[in-house]
Amino acid sequence: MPLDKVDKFLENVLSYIKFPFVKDDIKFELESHILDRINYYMEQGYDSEKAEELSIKDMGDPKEIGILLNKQHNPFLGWILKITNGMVIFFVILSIYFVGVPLVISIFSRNPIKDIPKENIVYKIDTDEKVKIDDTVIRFTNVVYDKNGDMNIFYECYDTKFWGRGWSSSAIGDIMDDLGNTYFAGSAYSGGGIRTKCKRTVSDFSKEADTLIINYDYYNRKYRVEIPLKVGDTNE
Amino acid sequence: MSRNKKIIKNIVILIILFFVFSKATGLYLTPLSAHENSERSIHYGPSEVIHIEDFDRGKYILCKYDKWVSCNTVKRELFFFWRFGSQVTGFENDKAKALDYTWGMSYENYKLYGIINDDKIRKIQITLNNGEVFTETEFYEDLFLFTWKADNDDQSWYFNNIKGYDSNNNIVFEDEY
Repeated sequence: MPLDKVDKFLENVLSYIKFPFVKDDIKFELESHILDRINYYMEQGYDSEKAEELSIKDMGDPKEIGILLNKQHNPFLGWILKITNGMVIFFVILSIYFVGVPLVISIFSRNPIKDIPKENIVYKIDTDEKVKIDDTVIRFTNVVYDKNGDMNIFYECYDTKFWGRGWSSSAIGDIMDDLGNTYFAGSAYSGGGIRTKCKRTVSDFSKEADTLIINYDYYNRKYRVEIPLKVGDTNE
Repeated sequence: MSRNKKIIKNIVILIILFFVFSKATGLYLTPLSAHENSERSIHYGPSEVIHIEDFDRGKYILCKYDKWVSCNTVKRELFFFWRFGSQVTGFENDKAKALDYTWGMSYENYKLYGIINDDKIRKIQITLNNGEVFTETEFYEDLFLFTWKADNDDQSWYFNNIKGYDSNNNIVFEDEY
């Protein structure tokens, strides 16, 4: 059934609607309402043309309706809502990338202690020493002395606040022993992520040492961790 | 839910997400905020900001913290954000020297900064390898800062020597790189 008058009426009403994203919804709603009225009049015995004419008449002045609906669907608020919806989606994606990815890395990052073959381990000591500098927490978990004479210090570190990148997770302090030796040569590994699994290795660590000392004393921040080396499960 | 409520809900969510985003990416709204957080993240300071100077990538922030003197940099990012730069920590002032200083570079941007320990010093002059001379007679409290930009990466732009003069133009301090 061609509804030319209805289409013209709807077009007229919609010409007053300034926010384009609501036009389809308004058109659908008005159209449904008019079609209901047409059906009603046709049930009352009117022919389709008359029913259409009466239904449109019932709706009222299209200009008035258009102005009223435009007021209800304020284009300024409509745009604000549209823009903020888009921004929410954008920032959710960014947050997933910048927070979610490091979180996943933290959960699934390998434990560097597994890099040392068991047959190379002279002794392994489990420890649970926790220190805090500013907002960074460092938890020393294990020390492993290997057959190459390397002392491997395993620890986790994380920030209690997001400060962004800055602190190097290998900067745990000076590595010393109870015999007065300080060890400089070695390497460092950091797994990345929010809770980072790290390893610091120093070479040629003394076999005679009874205590491993990790001493941090920089820019008025201090801590000292002493780990006895004669209590390990394989240490003699 | 009305559109007004939806907008308010969106704005609240955006504030939270923006906070998370800026923290996770190390972006800050002000240069000082980036500076303060860079110090804390590297376990230094908080220092006293003595002077701030612009350069084309961001700002130099000349500071004192206890016995250390630093010149941190913060960089402009994404039009209106600020991010950590480099050289956050400072050098330890040797008060036995009439003036103490250090210099460094990041890409084509060079800086030399330090502290005057002998208050007889009224003028500081530095010379680059290429013979270019810079002079300062006005200091930031007892700190000074020279900055220059190189056209290329050859060593002619390197710092060569520094001289500190008293009010009679006598050399009080002299050092070479």
